[in-house]
Amino acid sequence: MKIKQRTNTVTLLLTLALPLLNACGGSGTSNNSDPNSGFTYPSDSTDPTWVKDTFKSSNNFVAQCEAPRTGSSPITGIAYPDKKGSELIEKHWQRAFNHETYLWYKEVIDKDPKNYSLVEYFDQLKTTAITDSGKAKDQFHWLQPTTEVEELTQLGVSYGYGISFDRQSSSAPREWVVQNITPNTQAFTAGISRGSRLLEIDNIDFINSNNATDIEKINNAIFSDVEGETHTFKFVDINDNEYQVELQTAAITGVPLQISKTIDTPQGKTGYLLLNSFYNSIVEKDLFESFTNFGSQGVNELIVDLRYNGGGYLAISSQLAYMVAGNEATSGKIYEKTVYNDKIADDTTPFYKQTLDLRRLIGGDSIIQSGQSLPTLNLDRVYVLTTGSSCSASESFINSLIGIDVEVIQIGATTCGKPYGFVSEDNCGSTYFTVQFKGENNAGFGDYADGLIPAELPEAGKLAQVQGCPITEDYQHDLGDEQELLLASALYYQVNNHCPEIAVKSAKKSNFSTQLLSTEELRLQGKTSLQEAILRDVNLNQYRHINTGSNNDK
Amino acid sequence: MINKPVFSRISSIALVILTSTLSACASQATEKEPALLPVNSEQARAEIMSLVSQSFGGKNIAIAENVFQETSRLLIGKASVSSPEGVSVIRADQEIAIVFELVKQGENCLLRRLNTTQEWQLTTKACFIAS
Repeated sequence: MKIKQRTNTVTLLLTLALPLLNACGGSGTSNNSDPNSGFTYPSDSTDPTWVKDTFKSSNNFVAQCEAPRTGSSPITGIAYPDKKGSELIEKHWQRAFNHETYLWYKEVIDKDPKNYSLVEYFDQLKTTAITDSGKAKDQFHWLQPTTEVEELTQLGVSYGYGISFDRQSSSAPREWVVQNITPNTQAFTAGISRGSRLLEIDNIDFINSNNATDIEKINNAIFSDVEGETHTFKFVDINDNEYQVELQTAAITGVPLQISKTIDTPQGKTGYLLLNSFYNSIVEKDLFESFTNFGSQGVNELIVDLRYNGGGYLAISSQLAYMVAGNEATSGKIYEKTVYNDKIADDTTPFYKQTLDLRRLIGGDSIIQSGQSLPTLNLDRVYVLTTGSSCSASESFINSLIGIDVEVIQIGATTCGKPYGFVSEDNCGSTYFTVQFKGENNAGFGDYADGLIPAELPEAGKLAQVQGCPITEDYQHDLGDEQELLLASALYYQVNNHCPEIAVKSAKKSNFSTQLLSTEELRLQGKTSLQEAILRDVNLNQYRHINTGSNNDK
Repeated sequence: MINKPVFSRISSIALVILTSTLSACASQATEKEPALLPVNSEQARAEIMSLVSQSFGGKNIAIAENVFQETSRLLIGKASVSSPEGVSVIRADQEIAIVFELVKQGENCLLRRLNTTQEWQLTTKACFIAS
């Protein structure tokens, strides 16, 4: 990455520069101005002063800390570079770093750091622009303690139970509904079913409990990282049957490609993939084998289910897009252009046409021979199933195919809206996240901060609107079941070339049984306010921890 | 009594044998080959988890129940973080893994961290060379 290289260079320059600065020494009363920037240090302090719209390199402020750390990073073993400085110098580092790397640095109003706390100052170092929907354009700008950010895990593994919840409400009355169960886990074996609502944990009322002790116990159980710890979970399923299971906290190995199968349709063989992550290098081999199989079976339509796919390696999403579209459609075109601010050169990700053996590239064993031509289906249309949890590389997959004129039919809810990326940067024990680049497709489009929006009739010029059907999943059927709402809607669209009308059949608590209607029934139904409410609620899925914002599937 | 020429010949042969043996031992002693654990290696896994944690200053790190059973390399990376709005974020700098490898050396099973000189001999001897 260019930014990483730049950061390494910065570190190297700093290492070289600090002894020189020390060697210059002196009383601090002389030679305190920078002729290149007009920047002036006060004569009685090493603290810099702020001059509006005049910026020094972040090198001048890095690792000069109010509270320098001692010792070494537990991850790298490298000694912390921290030296005694001040909070003001740390804020000047924020200002300089942001000015150098922030994608929208020209939209930041330059303010004097001395009037803000460390957190407040960084918080305002961002654009105040808003999107078409009225939300802030920049939703990815924050800092947090480096110790929190340095949590480690075996890649593809996390502590939990293997249950993914739709956290519709995390304050009482709480509403958590089971979305998906990771195969080969206790939860899977115990028969926890999709659509079940969580009622109790360890005999504590999950829905209504409000006292701090109970909430702490609930959080400790749900977010336990103590392997082998046993907790009792009580659910009610979609048929109103209550059931209770005992589960032990375990290291759960994710299954990125959960389902790969073919469905016989009037149009021929349709391939279906439930792909939960691009952030797992083993999926390269899984996808290679799936597409090889699809090719041999004569698959002529494809449904890619990315509803719970939060992203991952762009290279794998590029390979997937190539396997969908084929060589002719992608020839001479880019998968994604990475656009930085005007101080850093743009970069491109190609359509990868061969196996990369990504697992070996990141340090692991080889799992697939690199350099093999990828199998392709050469499709000019693909169906993609989405929710608000479809994010980042999943959105790139959709946008990049649209950019080469492959017809994408998006079925489901609006995606999360993250065409952005960054290399996090540490300074003085804080890790900083600031948007540094965005991805654009071959046609130059990448502004979908409001997400990619399925629309039956996309408006002219609204490029974030994607041909498709805005539908909220209902958890009434298993994933991959042809009756499951989003999959059934895609299959319906294949036959009818338009979206199905969807009726709310019954309302039991918060679970709404929905089904596709016959042509006769269609005429009688319109969209209800209830459906509109569900459409909005899906975005709450992003909020997980019942007290705070922890964001791990458990 | 053994006469001198005979003694000399025996000594030469013994020296050759000894040298060959030592050479073979030395070769065997330095040869480390990627290895796997058999299924049901709970104790070995517990020891590996403890050593990996120790390698990172005592951090609690989730490690799969079948660690080193399918691959001789264990890839450790930074866990994903969440933006203030709750969106899980995978950073570009998460793409580089920290690698531990299980190797067999003679009868011993060793765990080593590849980007450092750290190496530990495991209690288990049950690991086998990966094919």
